[in-house]
Amino acid sequence: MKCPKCGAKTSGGERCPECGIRLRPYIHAQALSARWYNIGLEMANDRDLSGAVNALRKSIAFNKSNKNARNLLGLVYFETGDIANALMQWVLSINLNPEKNPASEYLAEYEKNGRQATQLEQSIKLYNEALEDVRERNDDMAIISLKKALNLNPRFIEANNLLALCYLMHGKNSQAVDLINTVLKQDINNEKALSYYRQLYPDKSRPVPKSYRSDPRNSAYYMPQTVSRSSRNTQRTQPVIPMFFFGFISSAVIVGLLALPQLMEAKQQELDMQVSKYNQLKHEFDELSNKYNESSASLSQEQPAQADMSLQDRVKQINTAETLYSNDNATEAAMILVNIDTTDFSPEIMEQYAKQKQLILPLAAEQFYISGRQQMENSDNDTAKTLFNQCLKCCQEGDEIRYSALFQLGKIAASENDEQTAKECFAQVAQNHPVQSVKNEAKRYLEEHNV
Amino acid sequence: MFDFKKEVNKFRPMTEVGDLENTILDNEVQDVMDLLRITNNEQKKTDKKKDKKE
Repeated sequence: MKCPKCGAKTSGGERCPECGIRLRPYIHAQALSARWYNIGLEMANDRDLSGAVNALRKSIAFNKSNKNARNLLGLVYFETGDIANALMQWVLSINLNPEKNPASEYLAEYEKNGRQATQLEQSIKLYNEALEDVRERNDDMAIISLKKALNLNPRFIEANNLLALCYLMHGKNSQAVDLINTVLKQDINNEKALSYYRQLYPDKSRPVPKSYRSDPRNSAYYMPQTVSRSSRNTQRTQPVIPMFFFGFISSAVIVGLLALPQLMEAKQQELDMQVSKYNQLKHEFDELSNKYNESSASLSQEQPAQADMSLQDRVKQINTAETLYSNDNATEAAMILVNIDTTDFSPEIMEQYAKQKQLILPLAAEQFYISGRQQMENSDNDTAKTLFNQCLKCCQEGDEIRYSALFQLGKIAASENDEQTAKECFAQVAQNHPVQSVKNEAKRYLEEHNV
Repeated sequence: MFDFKKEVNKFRPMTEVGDLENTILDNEVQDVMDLLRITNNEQKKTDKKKDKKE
């Protein structure tokens, strides 16, 4: 090896024969860098791109001049769509090791394909715009930008993840699942995609990835590095780690056993508190449901007035709905449209009415669904129920969002011990929801309640 | 099921290729080898001072 200070050739002794510095720590750092590079290479070959990024970053933290680690890190970034980081790694790699560096070929290749390069760069811009839109709850715009970004670079992992999240928030679970599966094929341990998968399929194990060792470029350029002799010291320390965990777990079990009676008592107190809280909430709920019944009674008294409206007024309402929709108020527009009495409408007006419904109702259904979910998260189940019911009014048989709303209504009914409603909702979900895990959850409820 | 805000906060804006030059210039690359070199130099300085005092 070369002395890291004066550059003189050394034969691996304790000190540099020229400048006299201690060489062992440097050799050790290089060995650790090589070891992390080998781990990163293995992971990259197995398509664990997230793991590879972590390992390779550690490798260059120990030795920034580890050319192979830096170049491979660039390739992994490139594969995930993080083009700027990929280019940065290659540029730094060339600066640190100008001679015989494959990174120059990568950069030359990138510059050669100018059109493709522009597309990849554009995809990052679109992703950043979409992220801003999502943060401002401008989901529709975000979805459009993300779709464009993925058209330009279908392997862009973060764009796939963000689009999946948008779909999940809109109740479009099956579209989200497709994206999650795409990401997990590309990066088998992608944290975000796995977390979405686990939330969608809590009882199902993730798809088993096939081992991926098909990139001939990797195997040609990237061979495992030899770990130097001095790293044996670190190998010797390895058996200590399982022993440490064994000791840690045993101590935890003993401490747990000693603390068990106090824990039981605390749990009992917590349970009592929850029961009194439940009684209080039940009382509030009864009051609110009385109020709800009163308002729905007065609403049903108002409805006949609609029927009595003149034909001209009813046609005017279609225009009102259109104006509301163009002012970004799809939900109110939808409520007007679903309540219009179409008796005596001419075929032209019926056509206009149908077009409006086709345009506005799906969007309103999504917005009602999202608001319903937000209210559920705020534990306001009554408002959530109203919103999900409005969502149902905007859906047709076969729409995924219809069964997602029914699923939420079923869950609310089950939590309120309204077995009848829960069963009715879950029966429809179990039969029609396109996502198997949701279907299974509904089926499980029905089985538990002997349906 | 999903806490939208929490999930969105996990996403970070990506460096655009146009900003790459600044990013590279800002990036003061240091590794363990650099740290060793720095500590080694410091050690030498203190050793020299000690020798002078003696």
